[in-house]
Amino acid sequence: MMEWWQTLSLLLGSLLILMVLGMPVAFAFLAVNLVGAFVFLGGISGIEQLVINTTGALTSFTLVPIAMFMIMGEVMFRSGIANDVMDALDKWFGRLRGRLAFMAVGGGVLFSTLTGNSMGSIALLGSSLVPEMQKRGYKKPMTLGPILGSAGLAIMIPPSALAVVLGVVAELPIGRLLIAIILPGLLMAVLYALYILGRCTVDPDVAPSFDVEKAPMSERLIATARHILPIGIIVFAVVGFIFLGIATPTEAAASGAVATVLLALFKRRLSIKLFSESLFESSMISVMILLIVAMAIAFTQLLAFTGATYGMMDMVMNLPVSPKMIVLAMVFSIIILGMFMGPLPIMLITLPIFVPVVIEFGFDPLWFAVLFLIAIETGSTSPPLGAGLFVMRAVAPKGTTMANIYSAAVPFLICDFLAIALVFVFPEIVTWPVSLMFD
Amino acid sequence: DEIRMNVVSFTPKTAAVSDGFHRFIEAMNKEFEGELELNWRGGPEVMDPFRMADAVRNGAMDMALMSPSYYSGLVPSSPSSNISLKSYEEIYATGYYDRMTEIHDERGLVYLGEIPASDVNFFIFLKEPVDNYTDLEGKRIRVWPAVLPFVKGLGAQPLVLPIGEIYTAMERGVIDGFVQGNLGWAEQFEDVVNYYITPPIYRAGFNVIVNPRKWSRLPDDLQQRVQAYLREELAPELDKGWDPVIEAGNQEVANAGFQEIRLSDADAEAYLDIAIEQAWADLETKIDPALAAELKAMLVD
Amino acid sequence: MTALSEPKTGLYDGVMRLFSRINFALACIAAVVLLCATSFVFLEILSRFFLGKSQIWVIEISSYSLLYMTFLGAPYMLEKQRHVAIDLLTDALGEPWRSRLAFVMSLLAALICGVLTWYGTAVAWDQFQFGTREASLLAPKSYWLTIVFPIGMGLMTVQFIDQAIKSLRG
Ligand code: NA
Ligand code: NA
Repeated sequence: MMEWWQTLSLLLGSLLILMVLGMPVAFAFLAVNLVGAFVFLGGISGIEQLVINTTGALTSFTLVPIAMFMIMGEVMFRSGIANDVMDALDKWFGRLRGRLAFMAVGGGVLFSTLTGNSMGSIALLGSSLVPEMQKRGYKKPMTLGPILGSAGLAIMIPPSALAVVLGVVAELPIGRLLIAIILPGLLMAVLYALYILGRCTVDPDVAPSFDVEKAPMSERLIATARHILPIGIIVFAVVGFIFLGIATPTEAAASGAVATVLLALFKRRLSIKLFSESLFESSMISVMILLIVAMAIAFTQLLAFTGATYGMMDMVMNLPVSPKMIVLAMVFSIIILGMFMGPLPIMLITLPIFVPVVIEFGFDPLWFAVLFLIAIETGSTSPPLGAGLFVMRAVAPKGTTMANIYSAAVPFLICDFLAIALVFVFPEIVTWPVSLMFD
Repeated sequence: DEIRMNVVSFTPKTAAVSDGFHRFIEAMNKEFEGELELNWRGGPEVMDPFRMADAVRNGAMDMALMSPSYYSGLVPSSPSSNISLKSYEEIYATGYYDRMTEIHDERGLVYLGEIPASDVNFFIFLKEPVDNYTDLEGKRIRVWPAVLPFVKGLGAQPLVLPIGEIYTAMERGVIDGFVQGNLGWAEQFEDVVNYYITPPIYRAGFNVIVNPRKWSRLPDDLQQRVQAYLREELAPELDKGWDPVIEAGNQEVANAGFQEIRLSDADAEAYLDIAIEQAWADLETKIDPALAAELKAMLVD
Repeated sequence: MTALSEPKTGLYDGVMRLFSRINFALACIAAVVLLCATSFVFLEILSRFFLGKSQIWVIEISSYSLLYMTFLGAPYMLEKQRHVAIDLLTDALGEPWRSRLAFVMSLLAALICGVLTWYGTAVAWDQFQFGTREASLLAPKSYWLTIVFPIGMGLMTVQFIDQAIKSLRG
């Protein structure tokens, strides 16, 4: 019998080696899954089961919005809607350096109200904003980074399917949890903005100011009416539909896609050719993302079956340190798991073990739940294996390397760690809004 | 030599309904110590619950603890055990479990027996009150395939949504209600659920299915003792052992402030009749009608 | 493709062009599948809002669409070498090591896809013979879903073999 850490390092190690040797990510997962299924799941039966598990992982309605947000992103980019919005913003914030990077964070916050799925956010913002920003001379740290950072806010600002699932699995009141995540989510957005401000000041090259003259007020208002307000229609087709109870969060991705297409048609920017191109590209990028997601799910199941993930949990729980330090160790283990596992399996594996202990220690489980969500969000954009990074690689313009993405992600990860530290030290960030709303 | 089996369950180990699985695994390992060891590897985090029966059939997994409706694609008549209001012992007396053994055998599975939960039932949960079940007509109710015929039979609009979306859909009014057991979740939903209808419908019971090749490695004598122990001794015990779990569930429902909408005796009878008859009518379209009639005679008076 | 190289490699290139057409055709189908799935979900929203009726098949169909889209589109993306890869080491390596590494990796990936094509077909065939259905509302025969897996894997096996050969040719 292998020890859990031997199994874990063997499976993860072979995965990493294959990836570094240049095997495409999805196929590196597939290779490890194949051998792992053969070894751990009973030979040929295991391989047959791998086929069944992989196809099963993809027949999931929860993944559908990723593809639909891709349609939104592609149509916005190709029809010039994204370009128009940035032009209009230039008219308002002519001399503000890094304004588009701020907009990426703002967009992240905005779209995080649209979705509960950070993959969808990265797909949407990465495909619509990144090409435009690079065209305007922004360097990769200021195009890829802010989106990677802020897309994760999708799970920190309601509606958040992940927070709801966490509430169900950890047996926490969902209404309170949805309130509890808001302030930490905004805190993260502020940290990202502060970083952008600092970086642009220290290193002006990353965000050229290409002094656009501040346009006269009348021109600004016209540009806003023509280019920014219509975006409101798309936002309404998503958020409004959810809020009014017309669509569920998953379905709302479809109404958003349709609204984007209609808007592009209305602006006379969408020929049949352009539409087919957008559709083709969005389905192809979805294919890349979904293939990785499906293979990663099967990999995660394999890890759980071998007991490797449970072994790691056990170790964390039995560390000979103070309760606060154990909670911190839990948070770090979630970040580590988040690098190569999807959020749902992490929750199923860790929450039932962690939450009772947190309660036993006398901590507020809502506080822990918020730390948990930030940690999952952090892990999903952590090098080398964070799935969000691969999604970004899939949607980013040609010539973007993984190294570009890794280095762009790091500063925003530091912001995430800072957010974790702040919430950890000041639980009031979580408990105060909740007590305000419910007590 | 001790034979070890890898086991998966369709629910996470910590779910309220997994209580019966804990008791099952513990009792089995104690009773057959040194002969048979069940190693419960986990739940949905290990494998998609809808693929577990396939894994048992092809041998990737040795045993699975399943909701019968989760593998109706492999054994179409398996969901029948839910469409009943009887207790385990009443059903046992009819020979139903022997019949299910034959049916599973034809479909490449060993049916070891049931982890019964006859007192674990299902309710309709609602945000807005109704006076009678007839008021449910036109309401949008979230279902899963097994309870769809019932909801249709009430004249309501059945909707299929992922579990993770129920909360938001209730909160925003996309759905008016949903069908669910009452174990282990009420307090999380206190903001969006206000009412539930009684009497509850159907019965729960979870099937223990085993891979035939693995099963054949057990000596004949052990096979017989294991099956007899589960069906004759353990299952009746398990069936009666749910009280603390159900009590906890009821307590949660009370704490969450859900109000009971109790149907009058006559209405309750009609309501249960719709539940049972619609589900059977649906099953009759999916399996051999003669088999359906045979099973129905065992499960419904 | 120059006219000069045709006599030597004509048949091989011809076959690969055929596969290329198949890949592209399947990718187009994948795009149409996505269009249909999005339209269905949108129509479900409209149907519920205006007619008060829910089309209960929509969720199931759109999740099957996802499976089909992925495996129909994946071979085309592989042909265009657009699947996400970590390029840190491969970018740093010079020739001839880069080609050699690409050869080994492509061959290994071809082997893996080949094995999964075989067992994917075996699973689909077994489901066909056994009459397995999905445990869902529409309860389609399972092989209708599984079959797209070996189709995609088979085409990807061919593509990886092609990549291996091309990396040898330099
Ligand atoms: Na982030
Ligand atoms: Na959100």
